Amino acid sequence: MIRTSHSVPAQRGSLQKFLGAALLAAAAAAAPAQAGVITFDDPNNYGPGMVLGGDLYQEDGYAIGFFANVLGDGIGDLVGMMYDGEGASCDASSQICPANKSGIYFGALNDSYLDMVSVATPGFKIKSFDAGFIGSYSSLSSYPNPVGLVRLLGYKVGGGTVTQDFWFDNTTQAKNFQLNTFNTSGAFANTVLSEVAIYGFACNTVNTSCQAFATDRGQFGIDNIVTTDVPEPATAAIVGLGLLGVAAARRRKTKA
Amino acid sequence: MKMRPLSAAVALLLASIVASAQADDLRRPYIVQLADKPVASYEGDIAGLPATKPEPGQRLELSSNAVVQYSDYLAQKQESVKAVVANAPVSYNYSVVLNGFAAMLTDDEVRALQARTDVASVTPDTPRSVDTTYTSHFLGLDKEDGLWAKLGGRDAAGEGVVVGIVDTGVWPENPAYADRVDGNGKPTFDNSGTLAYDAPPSTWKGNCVSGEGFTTASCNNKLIGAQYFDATFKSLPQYTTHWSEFRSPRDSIGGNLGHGGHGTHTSSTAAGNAGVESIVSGVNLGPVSGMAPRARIAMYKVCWTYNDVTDPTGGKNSCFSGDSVAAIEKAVTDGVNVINFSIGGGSTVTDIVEQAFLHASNAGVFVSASAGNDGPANTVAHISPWQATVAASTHNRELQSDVLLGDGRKFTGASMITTPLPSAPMITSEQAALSGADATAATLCYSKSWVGTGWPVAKQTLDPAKVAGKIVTCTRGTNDRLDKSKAVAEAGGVGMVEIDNGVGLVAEVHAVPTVHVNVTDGALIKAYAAGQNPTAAMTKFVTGTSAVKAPVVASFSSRGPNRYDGNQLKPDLAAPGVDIIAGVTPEMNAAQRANVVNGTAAPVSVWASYQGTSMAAPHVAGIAALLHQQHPTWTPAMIKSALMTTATDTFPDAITSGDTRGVLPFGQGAGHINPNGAMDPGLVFDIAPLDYQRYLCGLGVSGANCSAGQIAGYNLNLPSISVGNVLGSTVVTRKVTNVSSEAETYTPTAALTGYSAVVSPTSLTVAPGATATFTVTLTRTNAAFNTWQYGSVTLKGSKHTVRIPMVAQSGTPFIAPGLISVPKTAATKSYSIQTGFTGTVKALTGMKEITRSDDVVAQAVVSTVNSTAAVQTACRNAIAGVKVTSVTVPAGTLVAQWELFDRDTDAGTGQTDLDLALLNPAGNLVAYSGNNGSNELVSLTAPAAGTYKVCVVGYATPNKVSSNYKLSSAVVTTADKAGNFRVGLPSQVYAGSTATLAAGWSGLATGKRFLGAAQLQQGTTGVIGATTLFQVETNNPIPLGEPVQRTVVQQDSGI
Repeated sequence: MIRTSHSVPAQRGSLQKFLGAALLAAAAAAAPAQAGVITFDDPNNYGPGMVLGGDLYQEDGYAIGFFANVLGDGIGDLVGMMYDGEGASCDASSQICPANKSGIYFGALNDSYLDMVSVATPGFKIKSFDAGFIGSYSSLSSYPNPVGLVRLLGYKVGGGTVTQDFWFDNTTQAKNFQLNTFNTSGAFANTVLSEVAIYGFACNTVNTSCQAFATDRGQFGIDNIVTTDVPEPATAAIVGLGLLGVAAARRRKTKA
Repeated sequence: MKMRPLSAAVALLLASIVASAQADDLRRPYIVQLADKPVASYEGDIAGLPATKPEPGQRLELSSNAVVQYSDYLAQKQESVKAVVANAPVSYNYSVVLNGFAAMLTDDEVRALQARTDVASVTPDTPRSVDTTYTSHFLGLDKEDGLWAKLGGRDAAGEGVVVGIVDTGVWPENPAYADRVDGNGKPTFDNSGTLAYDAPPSTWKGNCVSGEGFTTASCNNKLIGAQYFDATFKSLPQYTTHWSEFRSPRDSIGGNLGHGGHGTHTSSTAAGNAGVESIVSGVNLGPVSGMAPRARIAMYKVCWTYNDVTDPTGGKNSCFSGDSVAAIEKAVTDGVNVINFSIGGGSTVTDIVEQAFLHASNAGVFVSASAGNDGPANTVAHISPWQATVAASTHNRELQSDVLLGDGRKFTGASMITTPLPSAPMITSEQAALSGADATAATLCYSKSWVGTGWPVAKQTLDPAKVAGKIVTCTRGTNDRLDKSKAVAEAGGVGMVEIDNGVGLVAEVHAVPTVHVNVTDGALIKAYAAGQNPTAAMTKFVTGTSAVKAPVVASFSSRGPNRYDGNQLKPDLAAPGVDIIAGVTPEMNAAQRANVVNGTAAPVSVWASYQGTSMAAPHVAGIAALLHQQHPTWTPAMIKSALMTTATDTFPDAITSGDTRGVLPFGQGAGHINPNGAMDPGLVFDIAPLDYQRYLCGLGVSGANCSAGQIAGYNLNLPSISVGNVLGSTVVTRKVTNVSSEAETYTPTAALTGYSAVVSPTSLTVAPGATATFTVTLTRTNAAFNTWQYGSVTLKGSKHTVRIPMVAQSGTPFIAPGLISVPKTAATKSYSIQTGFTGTVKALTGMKEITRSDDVVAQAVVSTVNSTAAVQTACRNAIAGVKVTSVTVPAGTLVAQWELFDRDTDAGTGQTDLDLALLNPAGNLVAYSGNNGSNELVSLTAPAAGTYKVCVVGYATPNKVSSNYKLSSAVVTTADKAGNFRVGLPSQVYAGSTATLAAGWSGLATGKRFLGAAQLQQGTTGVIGATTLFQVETNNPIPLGEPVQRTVVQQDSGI
C-alpha cells in the first residue's frame, strides 16, 4: 500500500510565541533528572471539558499548549477536549472516541496540534505515548485502514528537526480507535528536543493518501506521554513558577 | 455497558420525560431486557456455555444440553435482577427471543433497574392496534408452471410448513381450518369426511389451549396450535374486558357489535384451506384459498377488546407488547417457520417486538409485518431490516354483471346480483323525481329515511307512480350507496344502474338488483334511459377482471422513507391488501355468545372483505411459507431477497407528484410480489446474524459485543439501497449469492436521477453457491438538496434479472445531530458535523428551562379533530374540545417546542388521548402530533417570528368531559443563557469533510428539564444550516414508551 503523506509542518513556536520567548528561555532551568509522564489527570490543573486554542496544560514539569494551525493560532476556537476515559463526553451517534482507559485523556480535534516544552529542563526525549484515532462518523465501516497517523515533530536543542510517524493500522479496525501504546524508536528516540509538536493525519477513504491540516479530520486521543528529562543543572526554578502563573491566568480566561 | 441513546428525531420522541417533583408510585407495564443474548441468538461467547443459535435451516432444539445450560445461566441472572424489584408483579419471563421479563414497575423500581450494568434497557409497554380469494389467482400461484405446481400442486403447497399468526385469535369453525374433506374434496369438519392432513410435523412442539368457547377439540391437524397471551393486558387495572371477548384463543365477536375477525382473516389468508366456499352478505362468491393452502396454522392470540365508551361498540381492541413478545417467544420454541404480525408499532429497531423479531429471524423464522395504514403520509411502521414490511396494493378481481340495453348495447359493471333481472322499462332518477323535488337530491336518489348535511328532514325523492316496475339510474355520492337502492325499492322500482362519481366501483348486495357502472358508461346508459321506451336487463354476477389496472398501491398504505434510519429502505414490498375476502367472525349478541361458551351454538362461519396492510402481510407470510417449503435451507433474509428482487412495478396511483407516489420505492418498496419469479431468483442478498449485530453497533444502540465492528445502514446487505445523505460521494457495498444450479454472468447497471451511479466490477460471474461482491459509488451531480431521488440497480444475467430499488438524497452544507440528550447538571459533549463548504462557521446558542403550565381541555367531538385538516380548522376556530394558547415567537428564535405527557393528564395511565397541533402566524398547521395516548411533541427550529397558536386537542378523555394537563413549553433564543450554555467551534471547515463541535453547560438545577439549541450558520453568508437540540433532564428521567400513531380504521364509508 502506498502511503502518501502530505503535510504542512506545524509552525514552530506557537507556544513560545504565546508565552513570550524570554520566559521560555529563562525556563531552561534546574530540575530533577527523572522521567515524566503526562497523564492529563491532574484535577487541579484541568478537568474534563472543552479545550480552546491557546489553552495550556501543565504536568510533571512540562507545559503543553493547544493550537490550530491557522493564522492566529485558533485562539478561542475548539481545538480539543479533555475526555473521560470511557468516552462519555463523545456523542456516539456522530463520533467514535477511544473509550478503553480510565482517567482523562486529551482529544486533539479539528486538525489541531499540541506544542510541548519542558518547563524544568532545557531538553527532553520522548519515550512513548498512548494514542488512538478519533473518528467523525459513528460507523467503523466508514473508515479506511490505516485510518490515520500521529506525527511527532521534534525541534532539536541544537537546532533542526526530527520526525517520527505512528500509524493507526491495526488489522482490527476497532483497535485503531482505542488508546494503545506507541514507543518512539531510532533517531527520534535518541534526540534531545527542546520542543515537540504533535499532530494527526486522516487517511482518505478513496485512495489512502493521508492529510494533515486539510480536512479537520486529523483527530486523535493522546495520553500517558512518557519523557526522559535530560539533566542540565542551571538556573531559576522561580521562572517555572511564573509560567504556572501565566497558565493559570489563561485557564481562568478560557474556562470562565 | 448500557445501551446508548438513540439518535435524532426518534430519540426526541422517545427520550423525554415529565419533570415530576415527587416519585410516582403507580405501577406501569415495562419490559426489562438484560445484557446477555437470548437463546435464539447466542453464539457461544461465554466460556463453558456452547452456542444455542441454530444453524441455517436447523430448528432451535430446546431440549439440547446447550440450550438447557444457557437457559439456566440466563434464569439465574434474571433472578438476581428481579430480586432488586422483589415487589413488582412479573407477568412474563423471556429467554428465547428476548432475554428479560415483563413486569409492573414503579418509577423508583425503573430507576433502580436502569442503574444496573446487567440491565440493557427498561422499556415501557404501550398498546398497539391491528392494522386493519382470488388473490392467489391474481398472483399467478395457480398457473401451470406456478409456485403451487412446483410444490406438487395446490394440495401440497405449504406441506410440512407451520405458519404462526400473532393476532386477535381464530374462529375455528371456519372450513379454512378443517382437516377433513368431503366426497367432493371440499374441506369439512364432518367426521364422516376423509382425514386430509396427517399429524403435524415432528418439529412441532406447540399446543392447543382451551378456554372460553374453545376446547382442545377446536384444534386439529390443520389448526395445529391455538394459544392466548393476556398476562400484560390482565395486569392493567384500567382495562376491563368487553363482553364480546373470549378468554381463549377464540377470535372475538365481529360485525357491528365487536372488534373480532382480524386474526381469522389474516390466518385464513396466509394458510387457509383451498376450495372453501366464501359467502359474503349471503352471496356465495365461490371458492377461496390461502396462499399456502397446505401449511398448518398456529394461532397466538395477543389482542383483546376492552370496554371503551368512545367506540360505538363500547369496546376497543389493543395488543400489548409484553403479550406479543411472549407469543413470539412461544411461536419460535413451538417450531413455526413463518410469523405473521399484522399489528402496528415498530418505529425503532430497539422496540421490544422488533428485537424479538431479530432473534426470531436469527433462529430461522421468517417474519412478515404490516407497513401501517397511515398513508399516504410518511409513517411506515416496522422499520427493522430483519423482517419483511409489507405495503398494501389493489388487485383486479371484480364481481361483475352486464346491463343489456334494449338497443342491443351491453355495459359491464360491479355487482352481486344473484338472480338475473329480466328486461324491464328504464327511467332516469331525474325523470322519476317527485314534482318539486330538489334537483341534486333527485339525481342522488334519497330514501324516505335518509338525512344529512343540507338535508335535515328525511323525504323521498322518487315518485312511486313513475318508478313502479322500472330500472332507475341513480348517481353515486352524498348518501350511502345502499340508501339509493333502498330509495328505488321504496318507490317500487325493480333495479338500479348506479352511475359512479369517479371514486371506483363497488360490488355489494343492494335492496334491488344493481349494477355499478363507471362515469363514461353511466352517461351513455343515462342518455339511453332518457329516450323513448328504454328497457334493460341485468345478468347474474360472475367473477371477472376489473377494467382498472392493478396492482396500485393503496392510498392508506404507509409510505417511506424509513424515519428511523434513512440509510435503509422501507417498506420492502407490496402485496394485495384492498378488498380481500377471507374468514372473519360472526356478529352475535350476548346470548349467542353465551351459547358459544357453553358449547350449544351451532357452528357458523362467515367471510368478509377487508382492506389494510394487515391483509397484505399474510399474503407475504403465506408465500414465504411456500418458498421455505421449496428451499428449506434458505434464511429469512434469502426468502425476502427472492421476493424483492423479482417483484414487479405497480401501476401509478392517484398521487401525481412528490415522495408519496405509490409507484416509488417509498410506496411499493421493491415492487409487487411475484411469487412465481421468487421461486428462482438467480441471486439473493443474504444477511447473517452477525451483520445485524454490526448494524446495531453502527447505530450505537447495541452496547454488547461490538468487537466484530460496525456497519452503516446502507451497507447492510439488503436487497434495496437507501442513502440518507450523500455528501460528496458514498460507496455502497453488496454481496450476492448464486442460488441457482448453474454459473451465470451478470452485467450490473445502476441509475439514480441527479447522481452518477458507478457499479464495480462491470461484470460478475458467480458459480452455484458462490458469492460475489460489488460496489455502487454514488456522487451527486445535479440533484436538488434535501430531495429524495429514485432509481435502481439491475444485475442482468443470461437467465435471471435481479433488480433492487435505490434511493438517495444529499443534505445542505451542514449535517448535524438533531438531538443530543444528556441527563446531567453539568457536562461537555463533543459531536461531529458534516460540512459541505470551505470556510468558517458561526453558532447561535441558547438554553432555557422547559416550563409547565396547568390547563384543562374538554372532550372534543371526534369527527372535528380526527384528521389534520379537521384539526387545523378546529384550532383556527378554537372550538370546544380544543384549548388554544397564543405564543409570541420573537425574531431569531432558535427553537420553539411544546410537549404533553400522559403522566400530566388526569388518568396518567395511557387512557387519556390528547393531541398537540401548532398553527403558524398565517393560521396554517405547521406541526401536529397525534399519537395514541398523550405523549405528544411539536418542535420547530429557526421558526419565523410571529404569534403562533398551540392547540391541545381533547381527543379522548376517560370521563368524556375533560382532562387536566400540563403544557410543557420552551421558546429558546440567544438571550437564554441557562447553565452558561456554550458551543466550541473549529477554526475552519472543509467542503466534503467533517468537523467536531462541543457544547458545554454547568450549574443547572436538579429536578428540572432544559432545552438547548446550537444553530449553525455559514460564517461568511450567514446562511442558517442545521440546528442541534440539547435535551438536558436533571430529574432522573424515566423512559417514555414508543409513540404509537393512532390507528386509522380503514373502512368503506358506504358512500
